[in-house]
Amino acid sequence: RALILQQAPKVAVLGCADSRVPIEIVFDQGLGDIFAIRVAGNVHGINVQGSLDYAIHHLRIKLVVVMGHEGCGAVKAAQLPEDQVANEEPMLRSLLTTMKADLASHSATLEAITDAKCREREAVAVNTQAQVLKILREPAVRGKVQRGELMVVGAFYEISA
Amino acid sequence: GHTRCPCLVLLAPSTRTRPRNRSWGETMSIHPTVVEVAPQPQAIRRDTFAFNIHAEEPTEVLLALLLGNERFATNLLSKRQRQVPSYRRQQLIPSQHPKVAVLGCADSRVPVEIIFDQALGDIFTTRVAGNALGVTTQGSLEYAVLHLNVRVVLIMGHENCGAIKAAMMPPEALASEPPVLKELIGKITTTLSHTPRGENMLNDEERLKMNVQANAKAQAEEFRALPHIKERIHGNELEVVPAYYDMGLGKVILLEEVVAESMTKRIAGVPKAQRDSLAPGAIQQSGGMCGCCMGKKKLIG
Repeated sequence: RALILQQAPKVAVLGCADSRVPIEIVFDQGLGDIFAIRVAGNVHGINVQGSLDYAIHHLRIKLVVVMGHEGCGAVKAAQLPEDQVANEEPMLRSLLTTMKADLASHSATLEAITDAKCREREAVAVNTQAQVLKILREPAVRGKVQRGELMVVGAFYEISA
Repeated sequence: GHTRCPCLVLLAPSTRTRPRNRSWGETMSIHPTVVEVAPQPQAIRRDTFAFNIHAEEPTEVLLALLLGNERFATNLLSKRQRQVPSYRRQQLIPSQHPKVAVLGCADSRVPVEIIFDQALGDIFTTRVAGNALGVTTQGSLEYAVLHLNVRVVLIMGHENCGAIKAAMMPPEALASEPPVLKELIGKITTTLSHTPRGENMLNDEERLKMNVQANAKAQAEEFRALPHIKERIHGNELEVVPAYYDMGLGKVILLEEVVAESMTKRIAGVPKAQRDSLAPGAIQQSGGMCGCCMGKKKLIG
């Protein structure tokens, strides 16, 4: 009830909607601690950036963590062939296409990895870093980062560990 | 070493040695400075586990959610949510099989798994400010319905939502906001413009509550109307329900009267099981508590 009037988290996490990565539990935090944005593939978009804008400029959070995770189904789906992705419903297709484009810039690195599990992990890391860069490019964010008022980092959650 | 009360307040180190292998239901060591003011039977209610969060039937999943929320609201959280042994994590590595997806707000006061007292692998949780339906959130929900085969989609607004408050303001008030935030709020304003205003009838708090609920309902309508979603609802494979989280009560209220009523009836029909203090997964609540969590014991020093 003490939190009804307002929230004062100091960190925002952009994570995946995956049921195995409940952010507050993974960081052992409780009510009011983390502004948690979650979408499939922890992918950047209007709602995600709008939410971050709110957290950064109104809640004055100091840290944004973008967290990808082991075995992310969305990252896997984004790596399927174009024609399969094209069969999805428009919004889901758009989400996956965005991720595909983000991964494409690192396709040489990814293809060079022979071990499937390693490639999967690297794809998640590439995706996560791509979202971090998109956030850093936002004018509303850039100034704050440059002045040392805000930090944006990428992270990888290993389910097994 | 330090221990934590189940409500996560850090307790000072205990002088008793901790048992080496913690198993479900084992007592946490008693903090030496905790004074028992009024001992109470402290069992988890078994009847709240009458329904399975991983059931195939949409109604049963909804019931499991509501009863989990009741555990949260009455501060009788089950241990399974917070203490996750590694074997459980390993089980979840290959894939996830949640049967419910929630679209909630990114607000730090509404951590979805906690307010429904659920654990890893139970809920596919999408969260953005104002629980708004957009490319990423709708795409995520579609992934959950079409690829993960969830049975329930819950779209949940909450008390005192900042995004809805902003959406109710005149456009001039938002002039200096970052453009993307303006866009997000703008979409909510558009959604709300099709719902009753009630400006002259209600006080600010009531008006905000009305708009939060109207927003959630409108989004549920929008999502339900999608052809591939409608199909599943008609085939009784999916339920899409708007909901409202009341922070003061800690309760999630379904915004669909017919559904809410039938849920209440079914919950009332569950026999009140014997309270069993050693129910599997229950917190052993006879020790290691701080003053805030049960209100029955005082922490001194």
